[in-house]
Amino acid sequence: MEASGTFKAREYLATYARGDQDALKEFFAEDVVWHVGGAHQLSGDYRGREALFDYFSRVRDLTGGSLRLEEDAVLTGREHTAMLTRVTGDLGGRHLDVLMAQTFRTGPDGRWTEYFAMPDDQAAVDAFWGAA
Amino acid sequence: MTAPALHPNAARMAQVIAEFNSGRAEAVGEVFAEDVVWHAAGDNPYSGDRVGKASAAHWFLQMRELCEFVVEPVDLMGDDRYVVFLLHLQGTRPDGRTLDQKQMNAWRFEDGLCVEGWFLPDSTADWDAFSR
Repeated sequence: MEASGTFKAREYLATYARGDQDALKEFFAEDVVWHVGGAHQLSGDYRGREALFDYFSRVRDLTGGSLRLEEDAVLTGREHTAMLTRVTGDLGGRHLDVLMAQTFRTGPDGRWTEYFAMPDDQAAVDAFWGAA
Repeated sequence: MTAPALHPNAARMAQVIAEFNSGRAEAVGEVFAEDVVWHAAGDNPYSGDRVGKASAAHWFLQMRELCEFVVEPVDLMGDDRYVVFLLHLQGTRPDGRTLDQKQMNAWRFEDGLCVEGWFLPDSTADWDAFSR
């Protein structure tokens, strides 16, 4: 049987692909912390659900909604869910195509409280988003 | 949230990680397939692809020589195809440079052996500055 964390992660990917922002909010705790690594215009920590969805909005605006997450694997651990995804997108004539390992820490109520993403090519991600 | 039982691939990696941390670095090589490819993120002497069991295992021996790391396992998760190890890594090099970051190791398995793996630091820039 699929673990609940794995099921939830797949629901999240499907909801993200649909672009259903209201449904997406249900996945995250109010005080979620979303870490965006690298040295580009979106790098930094986004604290709270409002800041996170402002970030999602900026991502959509910058990429014209072209950013796609294609699942390679979803794994559930003691208190984290990991997704290995192929991330593609287009921005101003630049194309992104990287492997991104993403982890979501799950809080007591089942909502995600913290996020890290680690790409296999940070330089490519930095070049795609552009200077900070 | 109930912790799921470790998948056999994850359980095997848990043992390998424990042996590596206790000083038996060669334990990592024992889980590699002959034609494994190990991808190390970043732009430093340790980044790039290591192809083949001996080369990939040597990368881990080099990590041991870099400094005495403190490895705090955060979570470990796996299925038939992948194991993801989320860790908090701290270290100080002889010249005083320090590292304090989250990292992920992702391991792809076929027939019980790792055929491909990724070393993914949370901050590639910090890892580069530490390991150059």
